[in-house]
Amino acid sequence: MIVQPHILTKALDAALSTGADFADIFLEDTYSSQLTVLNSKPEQAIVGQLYGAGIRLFFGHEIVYVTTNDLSEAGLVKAALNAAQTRGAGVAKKTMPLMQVPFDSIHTYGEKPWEMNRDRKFQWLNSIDQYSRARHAAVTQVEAGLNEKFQRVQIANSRGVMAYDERAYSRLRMQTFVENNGIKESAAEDEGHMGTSEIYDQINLKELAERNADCAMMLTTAAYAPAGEMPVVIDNGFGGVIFHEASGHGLETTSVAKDASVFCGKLGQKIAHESVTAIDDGTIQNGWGSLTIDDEGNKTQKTTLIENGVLKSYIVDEMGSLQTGHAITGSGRRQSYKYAPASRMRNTYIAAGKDTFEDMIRDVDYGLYAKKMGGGSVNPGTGDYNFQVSEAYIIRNGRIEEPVKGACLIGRGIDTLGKITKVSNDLKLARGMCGSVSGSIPAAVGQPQILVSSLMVGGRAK
Amino acid sequence: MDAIKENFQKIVELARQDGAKVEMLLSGGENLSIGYQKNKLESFEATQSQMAGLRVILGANQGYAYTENLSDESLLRTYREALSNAKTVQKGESLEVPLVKPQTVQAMNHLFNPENVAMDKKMEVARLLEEISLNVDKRVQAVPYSGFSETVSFKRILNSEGLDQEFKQNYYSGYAYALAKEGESSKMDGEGFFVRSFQDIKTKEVAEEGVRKALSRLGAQKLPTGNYAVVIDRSQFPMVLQMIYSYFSAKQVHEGKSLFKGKLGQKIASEKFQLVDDPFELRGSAVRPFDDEGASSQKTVLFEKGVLKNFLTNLEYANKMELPHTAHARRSPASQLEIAPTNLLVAKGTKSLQELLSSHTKVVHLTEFSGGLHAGFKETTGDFSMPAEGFLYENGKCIGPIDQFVMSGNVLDLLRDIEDLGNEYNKPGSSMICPDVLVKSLSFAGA
Repeated sequence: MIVQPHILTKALDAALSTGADFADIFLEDTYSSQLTVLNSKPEQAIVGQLYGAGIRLFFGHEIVYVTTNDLSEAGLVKAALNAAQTRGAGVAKKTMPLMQVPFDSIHTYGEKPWEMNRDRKFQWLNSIDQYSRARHAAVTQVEAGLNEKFQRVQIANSRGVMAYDERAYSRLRMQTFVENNGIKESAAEDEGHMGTSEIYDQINLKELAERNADCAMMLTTAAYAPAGEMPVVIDNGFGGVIFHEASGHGLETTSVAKDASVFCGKLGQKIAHESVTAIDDGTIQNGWGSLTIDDEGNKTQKTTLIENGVLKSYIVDEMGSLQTGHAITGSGRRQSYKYAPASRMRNTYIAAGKDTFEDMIRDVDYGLYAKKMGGGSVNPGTGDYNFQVSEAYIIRNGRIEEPVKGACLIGRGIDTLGKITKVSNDLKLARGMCGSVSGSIPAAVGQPQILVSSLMVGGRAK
Repeated sequence: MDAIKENFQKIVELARQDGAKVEMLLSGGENLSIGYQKNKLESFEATQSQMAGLRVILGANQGYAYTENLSDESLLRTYREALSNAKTVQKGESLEVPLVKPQTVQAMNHLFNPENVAMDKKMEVARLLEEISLNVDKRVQAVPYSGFSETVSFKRILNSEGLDQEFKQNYYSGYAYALAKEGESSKMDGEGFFVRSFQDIKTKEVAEEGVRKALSRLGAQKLPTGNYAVVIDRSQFPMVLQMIYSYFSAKQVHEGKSLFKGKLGQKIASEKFQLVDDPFELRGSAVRPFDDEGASSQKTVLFEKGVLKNFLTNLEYANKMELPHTAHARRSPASQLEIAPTNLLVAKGTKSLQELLSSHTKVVHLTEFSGGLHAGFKETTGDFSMPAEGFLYENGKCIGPIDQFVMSGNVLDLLRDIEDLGNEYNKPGSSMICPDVLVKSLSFAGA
């Protein structure tokens, strides 16, 4: 508990003092640590604390949001009154008696980041450097880092809900630079989960570091990708970022309620090839984008978005539910108390299908195998998306052949959904950071391998 | 003495006993954002923030810690964490990290000028941004993103050498993005503003310009794949500057990550390309009287007639690499000290936009990069394949809008192949001040 319930009741009453229909308070005390190693020497050590509260009021469909770093009774009541007085002139309401929701996390955590011995963390980071250099003499530089976060949140609202949650995150990242025959290249990899850092004892860091060094080396000999429309096989795991960007964002009520989504009014309609079922699941144990309760104090859920090509549900938060009439899905999320929550994705993936990866490749005469996706973006209003491919190969006569670099995939979400003609049986999830209206949050993406019958590949023109 | 200074003196005393030097960077401010949706107030946000970041130096090693809880107890704990981090980061170097000594800086007090504007007037701006955009043309389906913001920000740096500098500024900004639809074609575009005085806000112009841009893109066709001459619009050339942004940092050069390493004094860009870093240029958003370790700001020439003239430094890397100290330390309370540009200003040319668009038989006018740098730029190699949109010109005449395409190349080649520059600058609000830029030839993948 960060603040005592009687103080929160006073602040909520202050928030309702000018006639707001609803009020909630999100309190946060977050510890963060970043360690970085450059060429096996410690390069950076930063620890810090976020400490503040966000108070939100609903007047009909209007949202008023204020923040403060003063979590004393006086500080919270003052911030709540300020918020109330900016809009309302109505009759004061009273908050319901606060009832604590049992803290019943499905996630398990080990040693907290400030408890774990730092030498152990540096050993993991240094080992990345050693494995990479041992793999290729051409490695010139290795940067490895460990980012840890332990977020404690307390949420109370005028309906009488009071909830507490702890979210631990750990992510280990590496970037390896090589120089081969005068050509410089680099590649990046990461590992991590919602949880604490002891997992790196179980993860094969050697294999990860070697694979990353191999990827950087491969790029030094790769030619530039061709340009033009062609069939594309997108690998499992992070390949799911395309669905996330091209479709997921358009399913958030944040876009739907504004008529800024191509999926407006399409519930119950067929919007994708029948081989496509897509899920947004907040309940995966220690999953990167998982929750126990969301940032509005609601229990998170597993939501089927698309079933056999038919749109089944949007991703809905409190305000989205009020605006669209759809039931909340436990998807209200935010980067920190500095942001009002919004409907956001959690662990979003295309479910496994029946095809095999080998058959998929065998079906392609000439196309691209996008093995590792990089960054990208989408315009939710039009569904236009773009993605970098950081590792790609040409498929020729049903076989994966030479590597190519500098490929970029562009398209329109709803068109691409209709062109997914094969979905493999090998589902994998991967970690990402998703940026949107309520800040940057951990979100997992995922999919089995998929075959898109035709997609625009941006490479270099001949 | 104010409470912050008193607390900091206690920390300085502790540091002295620990044989350490210490610096505290405080930053924060207040922000008001108002947004309307379908003619109704949608959100009204008033946020305050404050954060203290401590940098502790033990000889050649530095440690950092930060907190948003500015109580005595919390600041002392943060100092101890930063000290412990400095003990952890043993790089095995011998050169002691210096702190900036107290020094005079150019006064920029006029940038903090809070006005007493009634709340109704601010809400009116937010409301009109959406309303005007919605009503200009019936093809506007929605205005998904619009809003007005008022920002007050402050930064204060204190260190154990006795330095204590503060800088405050306030400004207003706003934007409206309209989603337009006609037949099967839908396009979103918009416009924004950044002003330091409320009376300079031109709501109607901003809204109408945003809608005009969205409408002009309707009915876009695919661009045949090939090589084209391109005019990168003045509003978009900042993306190219972002690609080379980190290459100027002496730290990146020292670590071997900058593609400019070993090229100081060499002609690596077109003779027409001239670039300065100017922290006093008021058109830019990165104005500051001192850098993030408290050193007095100065103007630095980066490219002169295509020749790379300077790297940017902070105190540590100026000493380490025996380069001029340019006062380009950059950090937030929650990050370690890096080196970065302030306002980047590209020198104007003499041609109008129309003249640039008429300079080749076929010219692509690139008016929007659709993704950020992460969507297709690789810093290690300078290679890019950036998704973008724009218009195709033939013999100086606009043939029509073109749908999302990918423009590929290498940023060093691009700088070398600049043929000409326009005679007008982009709108204020960016830290990168640019004219339209004509590049000889780049690869485009469209269809």
